[in-house]
Amino acid sequence: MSEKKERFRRIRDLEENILSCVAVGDCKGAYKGPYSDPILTSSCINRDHGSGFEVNFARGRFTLCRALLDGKIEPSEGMAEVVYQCTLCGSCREVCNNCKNPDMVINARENIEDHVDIWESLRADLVDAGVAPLPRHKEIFEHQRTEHNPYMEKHAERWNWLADKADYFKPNGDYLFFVGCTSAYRLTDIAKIFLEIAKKSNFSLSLAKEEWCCGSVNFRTGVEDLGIETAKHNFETFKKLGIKKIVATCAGCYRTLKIDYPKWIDDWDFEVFHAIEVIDQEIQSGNIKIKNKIPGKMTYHDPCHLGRHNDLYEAPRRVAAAIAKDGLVEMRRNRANAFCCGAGGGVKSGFPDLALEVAVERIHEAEETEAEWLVNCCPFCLGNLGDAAKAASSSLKVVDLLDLVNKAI
Amino acid sequence: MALYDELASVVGQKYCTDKDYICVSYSRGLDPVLPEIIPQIALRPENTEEVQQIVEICNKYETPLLPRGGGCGLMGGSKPISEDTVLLDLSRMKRIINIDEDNHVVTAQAGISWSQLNSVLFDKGFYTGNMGPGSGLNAAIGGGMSHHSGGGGGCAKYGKCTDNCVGLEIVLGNGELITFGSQENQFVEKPYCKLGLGPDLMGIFLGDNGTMGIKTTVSLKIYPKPPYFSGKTWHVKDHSYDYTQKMIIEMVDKGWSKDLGIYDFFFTHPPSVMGITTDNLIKSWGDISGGVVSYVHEAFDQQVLERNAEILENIAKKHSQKELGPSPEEGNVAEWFYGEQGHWQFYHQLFSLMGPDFFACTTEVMVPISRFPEILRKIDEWEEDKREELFECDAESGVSHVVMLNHNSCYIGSGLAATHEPDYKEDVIELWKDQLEMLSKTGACLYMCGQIGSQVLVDSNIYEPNFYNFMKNIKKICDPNGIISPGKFRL
Repeated sequence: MSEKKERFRRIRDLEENILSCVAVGDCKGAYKGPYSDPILTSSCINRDHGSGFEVNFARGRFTLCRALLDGKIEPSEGMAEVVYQCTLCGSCREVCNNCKNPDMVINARENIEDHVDIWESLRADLVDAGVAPLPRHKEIFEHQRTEHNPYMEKHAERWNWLADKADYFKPNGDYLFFVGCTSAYRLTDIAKIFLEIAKKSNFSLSLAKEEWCCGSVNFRTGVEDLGIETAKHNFETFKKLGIKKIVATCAGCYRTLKIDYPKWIDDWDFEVFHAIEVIDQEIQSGNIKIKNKIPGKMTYHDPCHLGRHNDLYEAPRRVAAAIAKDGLVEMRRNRANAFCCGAGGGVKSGFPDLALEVAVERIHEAEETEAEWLVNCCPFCLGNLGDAAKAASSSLKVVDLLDLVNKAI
Repeated sequence: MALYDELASVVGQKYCTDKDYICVSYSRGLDPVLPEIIPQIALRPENTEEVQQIVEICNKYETPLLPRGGGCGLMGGSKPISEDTVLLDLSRMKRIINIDEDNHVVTAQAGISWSQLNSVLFDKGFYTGNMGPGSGLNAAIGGGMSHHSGGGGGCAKYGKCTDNCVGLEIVLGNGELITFGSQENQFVEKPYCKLGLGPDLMGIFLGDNGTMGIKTTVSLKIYPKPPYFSGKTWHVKDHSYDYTQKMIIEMVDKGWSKDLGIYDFFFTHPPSVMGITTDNLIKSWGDISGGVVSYVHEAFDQQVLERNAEILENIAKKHSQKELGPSPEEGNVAEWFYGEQGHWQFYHQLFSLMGPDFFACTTEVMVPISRFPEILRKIDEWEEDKREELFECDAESGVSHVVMLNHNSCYIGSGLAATHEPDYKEDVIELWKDQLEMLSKTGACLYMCGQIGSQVLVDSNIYEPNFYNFMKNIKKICDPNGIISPGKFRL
């Protein structure tokens, strides 16, 4: 029993939360809108994609956790395969009897608290049990331990995209710009564009030469030790620079710095912003002037790490509305009920076909709005949605909102 | 080929599994007290033909086959009772086959959830009226037909799920396929009515708790969704059973849903109100005692809505102490549920009250309006009688709510709240059965009885003997080898 207790220590600590699931299964697909606008459409990716067995939904996974704790089943690599087919988008948490009126406290979510935290704990326990992460993730993390990025690139090449390094590796910016691995190695334009926007505006950016991956991939896939090591390294780097405000263009980095780092670092005292928050503030205060509005309707995809994980819904919409000549239109599922792009939680690397299939559904949903532009604020979403637009031969232009902001100012 | 290989060859490896870490997720329903048995195989068929082949294979191997829709059964309806069970997860059968907007009928595969179906209907200005069971919109329409569900919203106006069924496609236990309703006439192209071609044989499969066959397609009446609604909440301080009954009878006399547009009517029992106020769950209710009545009514016209609101308000005022509202912040839960929260169903949200320390053993029954105060008192008396036994297994008994149906009856939601302590489970099950038996012998109908309720009906000799023999004979015709949902009704 003590061995089992040790094996599943994280989910055992959360046993009360797990037992709070009354198994009505709203997590599977019963988002409820008000009488005047009853949406009633699921945003859980697993309802219509993948094998769709009960274990793919929060309700079934809670039962799985209970069975592990009760010793009814043993952990296995097959179990890990199933547990990792979740993007950790937080849609289950959102629909779980979620009371939105502070005067009414009838709310299952109060008892379960954070579904995503339970899924991450389960993954970490499976890692400790030696059956996780997935083989593909293991390869990536072996590389990351020495090269500090999950893209199988060399750490020494992290700043290859940056021309004027000397200007930025100084501790004098208003914000420390945490570039992140996707912008450093894959979608480098996003980083360059944000630097350009800053130049045209009233704020300055510094870069941390010793920046490593934020560790999001590690925390999401249960490889806690590597995530903590990474967080501690970055924390020491930030401390040396002495800048108290950090800004990220990646929703995943933003979530990790804002939510995960304070969990693991006791004296974390940095303010964390997403680039779009800073731009929104600059537009509101008049420091950024819109000169050329962008023609064509826009629709905005809420990245899960910005939206459901951080309640950041309005700033990107205000920015998009400010630069869109022909207006911003909403997809059917938006804000708290937005459909995930399919890439998060290690799904893009672990199950690329599933990630693409999900993103194609999102592309079709965006097409229904008849928008010309599908904008978002996360390079990871951008990559997956871009792949899906190609796969679906869509005429939608999938771009980072920063790109259009830069063109508009 | 072995059983697994044959089944996998029907649905494909992707949708067939014998892995314990997947099958375990089918071991529970809403109650975690009945034994949680892991099925040997779980399957997700896509269409009727696959279901037919699966039934044939299970017949060949004489293996029990348990159909499951949304898995929202409150009384063990979708839980295996033996380890050799093949679990048929029908949720992949979610295709809408036809929406007949002219004749107001939708036909869909039985595994579609009330949520999935209504999200499409709403876009066309329709809804199913009755929105399924109180356990939630994730429930499947096939399950609704199997359980006479009703508490999920709209039952005061539209009745039980089964009241709206005009067609069923069933795979019998021998693999045969039969269509019921207007399509019993082989020349009818689209379903539109339930009766007209002789006896109501479709009724054999409505409320059968999944025992007589496997529902693969369901045709339901659909209704234009009225654009206007109003919700009110009233505090009925003293003698709330009787005053609420008088309020209901007067509203029924004045036209109820047909003339006044009542969509839902809900009575919260005094101990439930006390639970809510003690935990300060609805802040503006303060420390009120007694019962609470909430109702919602709909209309296609604002003036009609206002006129009906006035009529209903005058009746409600006569039989209550004060209005809780009009805003949600002032305690109007009806306005909150429907106007902003979107739960559509009073009952559903109550599940959240259980928390980590308790779970529900539900004894939901249907009773006539004339008797609900009497039956509520019987439940109170039962609780008093069983006080010591309840205490010994750390359980509580009570009534959470009364939900009105559309004609002459209502649902009483009662049952036990028990802890997760494994040592108490057997005692809790015995008390649960005892309450079900008491209610049945009081003249209440266990309309959705699942595994435990259906067995109590037989074990406690509730059935009129000739009826039960007839039921067993019907079962032999529909499912000769008794492979479908074995154990229920002791069939």
